[in-house]
Amino acid sequence: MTTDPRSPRLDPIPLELIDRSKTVEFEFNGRPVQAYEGDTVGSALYASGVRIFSRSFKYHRVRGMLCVSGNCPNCLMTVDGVPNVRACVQRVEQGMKVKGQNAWPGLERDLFSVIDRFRWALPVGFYYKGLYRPRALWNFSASLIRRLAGLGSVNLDAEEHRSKHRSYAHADVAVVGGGIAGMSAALEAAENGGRVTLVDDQPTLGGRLRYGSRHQLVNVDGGGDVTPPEAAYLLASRIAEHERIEVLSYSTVFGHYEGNLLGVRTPHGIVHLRGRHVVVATGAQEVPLTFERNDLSGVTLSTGIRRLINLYGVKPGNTALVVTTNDEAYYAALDMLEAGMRIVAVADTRPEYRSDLEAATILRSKGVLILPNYCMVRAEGTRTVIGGVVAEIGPDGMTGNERQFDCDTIAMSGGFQPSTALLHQAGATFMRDFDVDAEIPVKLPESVHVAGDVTAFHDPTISAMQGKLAGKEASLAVGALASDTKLSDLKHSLRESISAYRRRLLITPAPVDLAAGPRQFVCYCEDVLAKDVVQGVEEGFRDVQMLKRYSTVTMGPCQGKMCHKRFTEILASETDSTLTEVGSTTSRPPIQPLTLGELAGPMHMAFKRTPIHHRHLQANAKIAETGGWHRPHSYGDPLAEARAVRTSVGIIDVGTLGKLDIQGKDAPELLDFVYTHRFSDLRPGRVRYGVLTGDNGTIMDDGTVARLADDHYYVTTSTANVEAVEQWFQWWMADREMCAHVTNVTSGYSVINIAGPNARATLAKLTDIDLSPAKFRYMRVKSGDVAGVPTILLKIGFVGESGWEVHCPAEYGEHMWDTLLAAGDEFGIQPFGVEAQRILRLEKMHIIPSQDTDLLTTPFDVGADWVVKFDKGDFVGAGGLRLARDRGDRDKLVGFVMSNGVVPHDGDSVVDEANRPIGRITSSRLSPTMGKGFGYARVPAGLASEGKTIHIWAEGSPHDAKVTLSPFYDPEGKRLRE
Amino acid sequence: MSFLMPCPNCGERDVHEFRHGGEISPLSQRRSVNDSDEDLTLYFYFTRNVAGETTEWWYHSYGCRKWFVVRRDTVTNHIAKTEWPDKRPRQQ
Repeated sequence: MTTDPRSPRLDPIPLELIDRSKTVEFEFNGRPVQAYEGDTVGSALYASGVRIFSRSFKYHRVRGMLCVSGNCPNCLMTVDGVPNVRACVQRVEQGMKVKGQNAWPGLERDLFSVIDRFRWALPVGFYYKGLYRPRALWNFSASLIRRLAGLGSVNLDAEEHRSKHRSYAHADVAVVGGGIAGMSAALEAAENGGRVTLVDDQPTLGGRLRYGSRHQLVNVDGGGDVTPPEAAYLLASRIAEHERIEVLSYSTVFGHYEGNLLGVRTPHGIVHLRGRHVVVATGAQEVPLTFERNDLSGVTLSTGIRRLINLYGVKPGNTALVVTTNDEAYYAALDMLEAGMRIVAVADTRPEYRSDLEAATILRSKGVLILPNYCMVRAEGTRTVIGGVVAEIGPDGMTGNERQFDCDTIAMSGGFQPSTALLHQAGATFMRDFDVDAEIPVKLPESVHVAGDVTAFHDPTISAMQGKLAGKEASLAVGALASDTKLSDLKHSLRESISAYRRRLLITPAPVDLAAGPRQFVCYCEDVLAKDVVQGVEEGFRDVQMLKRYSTVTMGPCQGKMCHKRFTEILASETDSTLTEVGSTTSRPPIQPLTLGELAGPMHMAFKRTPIHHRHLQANAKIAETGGWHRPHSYGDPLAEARAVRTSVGIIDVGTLGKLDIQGKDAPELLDFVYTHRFSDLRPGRVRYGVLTGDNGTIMDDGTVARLADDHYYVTTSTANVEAVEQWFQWWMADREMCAHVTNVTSGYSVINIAGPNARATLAKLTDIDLSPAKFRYMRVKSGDVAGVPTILLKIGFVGESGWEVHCPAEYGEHMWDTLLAAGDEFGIQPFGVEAQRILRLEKMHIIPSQDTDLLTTPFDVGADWVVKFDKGDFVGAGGLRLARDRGDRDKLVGFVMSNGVVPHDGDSVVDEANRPIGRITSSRLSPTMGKGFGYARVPAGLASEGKTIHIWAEGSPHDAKVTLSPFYDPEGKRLRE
Repeated sequence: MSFLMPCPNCGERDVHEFRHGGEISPLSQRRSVNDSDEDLTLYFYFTRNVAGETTEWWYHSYGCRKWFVVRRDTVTNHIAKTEWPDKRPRQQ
């Protein structure tokens, strides 16, 4: 292999993509390869002599370059650990590590290619036919097939798993495709005042203009005839200078979704691009011809050849045979001739010599043999092409009149298949146009426009006019354009150009001669042969969708870009149907492969942290994820923390509590309406527990409501529910048209709960507020300074001890925490985490909504009948609770204490005598106070009385437990009031 | 679902910024505490699931946090109108 970048390249040509002044070195299968800046991995490897780019999916046959445009499966490689990268469009970077894939030990010598010799044993659908019985055989063969078949393997440790960015963009006009049609549309729309985003999948704008021949002059906007690359350059420069056009280069639109949302894969991640109007200018894809050994390396699409020569200065080979159904491949022949190659013949399926085609005239004048009415029969060679045979076409297919040529390159053109996938997804309807041998869009959604080769007209002048028209119509529709005087003129001249184009157009689809041999590939991705398609039809799969699924044709990485046209042609001929009757397969997104990492996007689980978070980290707290927050689970020993609270004093950071500030003249009315309890009679300075239910009476959330003034309440909600409660309040307020303000102040306050027999002594050091039991009674609220900071103090029974909830501005959180710890030092103050809190609250039988309740639990089911005030008039839940009350008890939430030393887990079952589940443990812990397992269980109402024995299935056997209905700890609540 | 929702406060925003609050229909009309069990059950647990024009509650969760009323076609997601709740049509 030569690694010198200079020798195999052609003389520099204007506007080529490579910069010959800058060389780049990368690694291919461990060997260094030289390239120029602007090269793709594919072009650099081709220039360095590589002819085997990958091994195929099923047979492990050799694959050479085919499309050179990122649309076929032939050059998939692993680049820097990322599998299935299209080498022909992946730009080289210094130090890049490129590897072949799906081959062992290597691309040149792949031992798995032995499969190719057993093709006779692997007919279409072989895995449906032979490998399913016995069952063990299927398991074995499935694992074998998975290892042998397929694409590159994902390296689970690779760096590339880092998440990709995701962004959102809006445009008046989104243009898909950067060829002459797309560029014209973008410029026209932008010049009329629209904001345009132009998406193109190639590194530079221009589409097929970039590799167009100097013999195909084009006229851009009446500025005189220029070569196609010059035209591309002119338009691209105008676009680059235009302030209203944004270009996403090297980016693929992989799907059109509802509301003109385009999924765009860019090098930086997925962009959700929404266009008020979308111009689809996705062009057309040249498709292969079907002949024996059309899979050999060296059999290349004519446009691929032109890309290699004109974009990268790479000479494709020395001797070429050109086979075509249309005019385009003549220009590939010219390009090769000018690149110093010998053209052995141009075989054209059309019956007459194209005397009006300039390229044909030039070729003939240079002595190139042109064979009208000839078609390719077979290529010769085992891995790479060494020759080709063409035959004259007779009235019933190929005649025996064959001609053989020695060559190392076969440039083929089986016609162009418009890239209509996005139009199909947008809901366009199509009609077959036999003149242009393609489906053409006949009805488009209002906000979708088309231009260029995707309309099946393959002419730059028409494309430019269509682009201009599409751009004008789109900008008119978004109201950016004031007048449309030129619209009808434009439409008129477009119609004339199209009629002229139709008059000179001649396409003769190539016949498929199945007798020419068994290795005529239709689908390059999945190794589906022409005979496989025929056999599928013979087996009864006559419907295009069924045959697709059976044979897997169109289901590979190219998604039908290479094979759909030929597949439907063979199907039509085998079923004696027209192409209209055959129809087409469904184009679903993504039309170009994506990685799962790109789809997943970045990790957005942004956890919330309280203002005191860093103090917990400094104290080596074990951090848990609860309700969207990161908070201390414990500081080492939850049981010791719980004991400290019961015996002396503890503090816990409860800044995670939801906090709503409710003010306004209708605030009392609002709270009376949304809570089952009554709050309009709560006197200022007092606190009351409240339960929120849905209108069907099931528990949503609970919390405390403190009345700070006549028209001012301060409400806490459980940690995870504040957003839902806020929405809930806002909703009923909107519905009832009440006048109040509900403000979510959760992040505005830092909250610390201080509790335990020494809580008062600790807190008293820091404030002038009289904390004595007579002056600051249970369920009261006061405002005042603590530790020099303005606070709201709530005396509530959070963990069942005398204690206060200290609410202070968030920015003083750490100060308050530090000061409380210092003040409590003499009492051995202990910070405690969620786990200790859970134990302490469970001992007091405080329920946790959604842990101890489910979507059917009413306040009656948890023994909280006292919070439901039917006498207060209508409220949310009144009807549902009335129903529940009338229906009577179902399951009840009860406390239990284990009779032995077993501690069940949350979720264990309550069982009957026959060990059948009849209930469920919702919360279970070891009580440090009682030294036993205890908790909450949902049991049938019949078991819900004090002292009943229930059976709990834990650790594989039933265990007795006693039901209790009052709190395990301090049932009278004396300690709270101390 | 992928369309732009014109919030009466913030203007057109991606629909994922919003929460859907259900249809406003005779079924969703709030019942009184002593309505029949059957009628209350219909109100709590049933929706009409209309294919076509509906009037619905929407909430701008990731924006102004306001509830508003939308006239939407559930088949095409075409939004005919959005308005504040006090302007919404009343059903009897």
